[in-house]
Amino acid sequence: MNLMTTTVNPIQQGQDADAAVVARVQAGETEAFADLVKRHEKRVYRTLMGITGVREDAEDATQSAFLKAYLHLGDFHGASRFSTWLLRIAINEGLERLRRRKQTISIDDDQDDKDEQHFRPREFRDWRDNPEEKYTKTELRELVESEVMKLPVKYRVVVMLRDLEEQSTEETATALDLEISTVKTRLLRGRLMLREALAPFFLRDNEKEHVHA
Amino acid sequence: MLNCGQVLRELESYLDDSLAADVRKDLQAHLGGCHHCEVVLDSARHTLRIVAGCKTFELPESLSDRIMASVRAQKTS
Ligand SMILES: [Zn+2]
Repeated sequence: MNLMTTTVNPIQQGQDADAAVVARVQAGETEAFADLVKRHEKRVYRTLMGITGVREDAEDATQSAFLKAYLHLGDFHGASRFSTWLLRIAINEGLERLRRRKQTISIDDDQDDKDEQHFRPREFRDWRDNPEEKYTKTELRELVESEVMKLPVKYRVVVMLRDLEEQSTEETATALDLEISTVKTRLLRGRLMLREALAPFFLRDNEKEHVHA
Repeated sequence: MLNCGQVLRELESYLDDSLAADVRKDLQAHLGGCHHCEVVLDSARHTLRIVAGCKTFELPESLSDRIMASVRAQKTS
């Protein structure tokens, strides 16, 4: 039984916050493109970090994605939000780089998603009440970055779009060209994997002693 | 009554506080008797807060300049 309900908001005319700037660039005002870069470069870069897993590749791919968006802006007619259209370009750019590295990728293969529905947590020890208080901001950031990067790419991309960029499940599905149900399954699995990976760092002190007791 | 697997599948709604009232009731009933699920839900909430709260994968500062430089180069070529 599916207890979850999903509301999809169709894109309505005038809803795209970027439409006015896009129109200016389309009319020849190249410098206005800088506004679009500023608004979206972070999301594009993080998405490409999620896909490529390598900082230099992500930077390079971000640059290429924006350049392609600029060159093809004449083909953008507002059928989707500009941000969605841009993210599609970025994702294709990232996947292309993986192919060039001859890395097998499977962000659109769902053959093992069935097994994932049976993924079970294994770590059940209690966490501290304020787990992040034990670490500095830098330590936390480095820890999260390193554990996120250890996730398999198809979970990593979903977790990054959904939990780091705070895109909706629907936006994430559209950007990755996946079914909403697939995004939900992978998000659940990715979050649970991340939880298991982070757990040893945030356990209550007495819980850690239990291990050796 | 929900089983542990069904509780897990409600994780997303639990985390974004969008559980339907009847599901919330069933879930609370389950958590009352299942410490494992209680830990998983509680630590998943912590995980999400930690992940969203630390500024991961910060953008290199010069990137927007490099992007605009390549855009301008296209325009003049
Ligand atoms: Zn349970």
